[in-house]
Amino acid sequence: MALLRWLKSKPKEAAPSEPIEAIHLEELPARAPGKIKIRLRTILENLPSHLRSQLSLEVLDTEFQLPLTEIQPQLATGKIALRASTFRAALPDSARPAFDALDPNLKIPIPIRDIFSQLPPETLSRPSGQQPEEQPQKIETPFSLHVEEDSRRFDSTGKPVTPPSKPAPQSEKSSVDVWTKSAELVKELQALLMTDEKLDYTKVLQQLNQLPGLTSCQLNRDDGRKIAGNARDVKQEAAISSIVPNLFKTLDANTKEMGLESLETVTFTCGKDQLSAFLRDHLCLTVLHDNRPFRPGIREKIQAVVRHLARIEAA
Amino acid sequence: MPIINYAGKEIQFKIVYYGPALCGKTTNLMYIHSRLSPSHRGDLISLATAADRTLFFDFLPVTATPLQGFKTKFQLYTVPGQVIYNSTRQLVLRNVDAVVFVADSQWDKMEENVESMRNLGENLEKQNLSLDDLPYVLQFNKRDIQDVAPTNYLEYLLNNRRKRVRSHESVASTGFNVFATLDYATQLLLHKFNRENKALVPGLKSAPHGA
Repeated sequence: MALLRWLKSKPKEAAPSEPIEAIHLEELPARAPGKIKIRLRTILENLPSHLRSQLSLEVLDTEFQLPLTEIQPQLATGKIALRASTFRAALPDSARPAFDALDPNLKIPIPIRDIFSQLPPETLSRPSGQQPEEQPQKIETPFSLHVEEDSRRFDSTGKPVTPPSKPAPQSEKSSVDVWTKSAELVKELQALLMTDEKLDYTKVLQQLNQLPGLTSCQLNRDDGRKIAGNARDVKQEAAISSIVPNLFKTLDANTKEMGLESLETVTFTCGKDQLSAFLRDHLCLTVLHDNRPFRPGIREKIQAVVRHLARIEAA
Repeated sequence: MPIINYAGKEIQFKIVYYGPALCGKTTNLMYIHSRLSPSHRGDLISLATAADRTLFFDFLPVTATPLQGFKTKFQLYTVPGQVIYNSTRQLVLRNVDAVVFVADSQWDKMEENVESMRNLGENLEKQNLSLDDLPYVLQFNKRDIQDVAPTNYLEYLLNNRRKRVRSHESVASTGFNVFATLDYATQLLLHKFNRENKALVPGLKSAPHGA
């Protein structure tokens, strides 16, 4: 009790969206048979915000053990959740009061990724009597040739394999430095864009411009400096450079205040014009597209390209 | 069920890409479309919502080289993955000949993968079909993302029927194993067709022994 009073005298109270402040305690002894060890902090970080807001926030970062018998039956559903009463019972005495306010029948999600490595191998056994499918004798299909081609494009782990490229001419050295330093990332970007062409910012935007629905692409730094690409005309290019990165950052700050995760992309529909912006680290890609939403998969592809560009830039 | 046109000597097969929302079904078709020669495929037709999600289906027709004197055509479809579009999924599954089940390898998608597989079984049952008899293959997609679920857990969740089917790890956004998955599904489909139709289609050789 004295310990709890001391803990409650600590000054601040974290908002649910902020990282949980933790006070380290001693760890429990080694995992008992039939139990799974997990850190309380891991569970709290994965709680929906409406549940976190119900908790007392003087949280103890402790490790505790959950019964495998509660976890095992749920593995086949792809999701594990324990009743709050069961969860509380598994906690050490010092941590239980923090969860007093929770409805005992509420379900507490347990992230499988954090306990998976502790599961006994027999937990994931195949159903008894399961037989492997008979392998058919190979028939040539319209796709067999492409299977062969792709087997040369990728290694066994899925990483793209590209032929060695010629060294860059001396005069272009400074502009391609960032590209030559990040050969692995560039290979991945080539695979993403499905091209063997040697890439730089301009070439990447040319590839993006070929995506269905896009009319132009422009890449800026987040301070507005233009890197590559273009818009409808010079005036629009200048306006995009000066407005879009700052607008995006403002919107991102606002969405964070709402307790949402980082803004990844935004689309403005202005009559027949559509403008989408993608910001990642210090890069801002602005695309103008035709008078309809992105075709399926296009937005995700552009996001993936921007992520790669940001990693190459940062390398 | 394949459509056989005796007069035109043509056989048409239907392959459906199934799986939870945003797992990569459309991305699979987009990659296939981009790699096939225009002379062997039609346009990729995508009907999407304002949020770039597949609304009805994606459709890609593929013309193939002759199979024992019959020209083969493959129609590739995807279904919308969101839960609310179940009636559309049922429609798209009609007369399906093979299924590619695309699973999302991210940890937080496991429940959706399981639910989608259950939904597939349920919708097939409504047509008196079963995954025990229908050619299908599993694709564990998004293997390029850091910290995804291991394939043994995906196998445990999704490959737990009487017959253990083949699975492929894939990265649909780059094309890794997209064609390998489709090729295998097509082989299963053609072998089944050979077994069941040699009497119906004179001149069609029986499947090789052991298929």
